Amino acid sequence: MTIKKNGVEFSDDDVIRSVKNGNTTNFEVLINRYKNRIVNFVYRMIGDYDESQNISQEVFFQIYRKIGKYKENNTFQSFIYTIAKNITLNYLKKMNRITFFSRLSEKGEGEYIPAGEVTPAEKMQNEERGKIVTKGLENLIINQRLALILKIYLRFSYKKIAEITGWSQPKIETLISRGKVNLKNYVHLQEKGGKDV
Amino acid sequence: MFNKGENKMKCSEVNLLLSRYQDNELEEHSGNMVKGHLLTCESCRKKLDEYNRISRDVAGIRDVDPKENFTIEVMSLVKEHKEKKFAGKFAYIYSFVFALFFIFGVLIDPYPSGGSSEKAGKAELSSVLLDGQKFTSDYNHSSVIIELAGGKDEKGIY
Repeated sequence: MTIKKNGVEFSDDDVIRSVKNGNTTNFEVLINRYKNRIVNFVYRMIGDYDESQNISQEVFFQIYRKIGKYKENNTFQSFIYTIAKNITLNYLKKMNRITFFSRLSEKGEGEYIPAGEVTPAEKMQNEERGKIVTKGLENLIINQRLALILKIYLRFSYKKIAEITGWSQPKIETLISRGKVNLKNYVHLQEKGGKDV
Repeated sequence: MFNKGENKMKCSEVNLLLSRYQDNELEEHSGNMVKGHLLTCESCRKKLDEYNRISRDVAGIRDVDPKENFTIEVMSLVKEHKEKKFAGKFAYIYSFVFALFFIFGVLIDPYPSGGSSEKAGKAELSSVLLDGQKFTSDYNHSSVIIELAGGKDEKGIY
């Protein structure tokens, strides 16, 4: 990823090099560049707004601490999402969270935003579906949830997901495929008036 | 895995590849075969539509914003960490200097105040004192002899 300043493009590696050379304030550039995606990644994993903020801040702090270990070969995204994934999974293990989206659903967050203009009736239907989908994500096992978020929300390739998680590509393929099927079945069941599975 | 030669796939074979096809992760050849099958199979097309919809649903979950002071708070943690690290480095330097003083000041004491070096010092001192005393004693002794003899200083004779 690059950013322009006075017509000059600064890649992640440029900024990191500068931070490593002692210009700590430039780390702010990296925070501002990635904070939205990290916060939303963590939020989708744990389903708690306040905790997702704290965990994301810890993620950036750890990125700073470990920045010396980062080797410049344009895989900074893998580097930061690996740290984000580790801290998030540790948190989930610690909290033993199973119903991760419960508070989110109570607050009425996690709504589904459809593309294009919709009628009020469609909007209501979509919002209802959005709640069902978030609840469906809640019911997935953690690895399926992680694989779906990395693939669908962050649009990472299987190769990048493998770099971040350390999983083999067949495992990733299976987790994503089963995750989609489980989520689809859950949504179908709920739309037909079924109960939680 | 599937009938490559016939360039036709069964629904069961397509089902195994459908998720990867949707994720754009199939090699070109396999992708084309799945695509060819989908043109003629409504059932598999329907499954693909369901996958697409689920993906849209997950991608469509509303984003949240980072809190207002997000960056400032992280940077203050970073600054604090840097200062601690800096102070830590100085602590090492101070400890090192202290250790040097300790080594040179106590273990290699130029003015010994105890131990074998003290004994050596005392022995040297007492030897000097004894020599002095002996000299004085010899001197006094000879003076006494000379005086008793009623003559001159023997030293003058020698």
